[in-house]
Amino acid sequence: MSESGLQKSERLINLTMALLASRRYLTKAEIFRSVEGYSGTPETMERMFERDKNDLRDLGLEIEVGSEDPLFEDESGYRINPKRYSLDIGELDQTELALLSLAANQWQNSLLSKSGQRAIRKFESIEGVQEPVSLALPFVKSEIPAEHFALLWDAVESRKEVNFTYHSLQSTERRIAPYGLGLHQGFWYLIGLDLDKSEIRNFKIVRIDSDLSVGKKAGVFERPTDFSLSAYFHHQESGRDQQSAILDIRVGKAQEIRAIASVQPLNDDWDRAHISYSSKRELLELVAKALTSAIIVEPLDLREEFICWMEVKRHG
Amino acid sequence: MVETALERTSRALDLIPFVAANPGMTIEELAVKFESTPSQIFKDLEMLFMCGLPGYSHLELIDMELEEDYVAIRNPQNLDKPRKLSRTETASLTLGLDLLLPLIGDAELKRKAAGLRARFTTLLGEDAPPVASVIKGSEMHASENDNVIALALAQQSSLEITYRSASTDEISTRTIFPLSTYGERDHLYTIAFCSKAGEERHFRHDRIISAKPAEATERHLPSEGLKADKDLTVIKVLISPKARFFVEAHSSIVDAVTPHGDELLVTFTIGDHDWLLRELLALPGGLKVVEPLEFAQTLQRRLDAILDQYR
Repeated sequence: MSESGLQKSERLINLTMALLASRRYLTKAEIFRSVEGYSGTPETMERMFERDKNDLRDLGLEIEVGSEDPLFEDESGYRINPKRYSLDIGELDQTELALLSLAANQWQNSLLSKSGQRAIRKFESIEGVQEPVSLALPFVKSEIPAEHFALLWDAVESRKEVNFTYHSLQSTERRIAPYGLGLHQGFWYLIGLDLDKSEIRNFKIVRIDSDLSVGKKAGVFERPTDFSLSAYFHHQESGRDQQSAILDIRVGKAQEIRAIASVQPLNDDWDRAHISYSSKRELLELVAKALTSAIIVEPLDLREEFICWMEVKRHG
Repeated sequence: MVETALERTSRALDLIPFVAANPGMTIEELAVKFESTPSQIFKDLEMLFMCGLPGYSHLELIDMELEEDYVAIRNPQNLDKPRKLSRTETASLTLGLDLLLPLIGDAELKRKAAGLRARFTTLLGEDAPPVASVIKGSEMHASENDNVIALALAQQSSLEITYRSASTDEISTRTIFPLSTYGERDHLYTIAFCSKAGEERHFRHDRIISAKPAEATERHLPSEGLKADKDLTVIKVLISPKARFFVEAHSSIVDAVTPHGDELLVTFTIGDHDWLLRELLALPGGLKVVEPLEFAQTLQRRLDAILDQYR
């Protein structure tokens, strides 16, 4: 007969308290004798205890294994070191608690927001619930990734392989050794080794299909020790040269261009703007958004590219 | 959803030190605090009545007072302190601090936030690399105008701003009453009641050319929900998969995205047509407005006029 969840929880809490209370290692025999909830044949209790031990470890509790008597090493015992069990973060003043609460409340995605609330409850278990202090800091919106986020988090942490269909220009099947998750300009990315291409790639999580599957086996790859998420992203974005362009812009218009260009009057209707840019695409976007208030004068190849950019839209 | 014994155990272990530090809360309040239900919390507490240290006499059991409108723990035994933070709990705080840090203008507050960040990094341990990071270098930064706006928000006072509008390509001066500030992707925005528009608008901070306290303050309350539906139109557009980023970045105005041959059919519900028109023209790849006809015609006229300038 299987026991009820309540009975099991009760026994796990009693076991935790007993292991925490003991200064020395408790043998299994002592545990079975003294901790409430263990009953049945020795084999049954043995199985119960093995499961309970794993369950408590899954909850993040560190159960130390050792022996009191060096002559009888076989008879190993168990305990939980109170120092390694409880939260020790030192004193937190009201402003710091408010900052932490704000940090925990930045998340709309359930894994991080639930974890954040749990953390705050732990601080409130030391200091008591505090009157909220207003810090007048903004809330930073980031994408709310689907359920993928928790799965990918686990895959990164436990080093499990992931498989999914990725929707970019085409939809392709990917097999990835996940190295980490990065929040970049409001979007979450998965960064990992593409096992078919043998290259490190990044994947915007919103583009990962619902067919995402995480391998069962943990620790199937090693993340290179010199790998850094930040360095990876910076490398992606570096290496762009600054270039310059000349645009004619209408007097009193093209305000977004005026804000970043150096502008001289040309005639009654037009000004001439000198602008430097590192991303060609960003410049083309800026000119397109100005509608008829901006014309690219040079360089000529940029001018041609802009014409193509517009032509392709005219033909639908 | 059925709860596992482990989930209950985890919550119960957290409940004891919390109630011990905050005596006198109701079951209802505890349920809200622990994102659970009153009946679950009641069951947890009932179970905890039976828990304690070996011996299990009244001296060793967790000693609790349990009433519908009053819960207190007189003796939590050795569960008086909260458990240490898990990796995801620590990550939620450190990543949140990473998002906030660049936005803090006040030096003392920034020092405190940086100090906390360092304390929690130590807690995470050096042995394992972080699962997730906020990528540095792309974050928003506090500017002089941000501080003026933050002050107006704190004092609930109006501001006079000079603003560069992206949808009309004009600079105008207006009086605004700031309601809240948020960050999204690369930019900070303030939601404010705009006296010129007679309604709430979102102002992007880097488009605010100047900001100063207004001579008089006209207070407003934040409006509830979105603008009335009558101002909104459904616009259907075919775009290239190359322009997918635009749909992802503006998910709040996107109703549906469906593959359509090699293209994506996107349905927007939007009030500001001028803004959408400029944004669509700036997307890479082809573009075709499916409906409404009027918007399609306006877009074609704009395109023709732009291309005419290059002839």
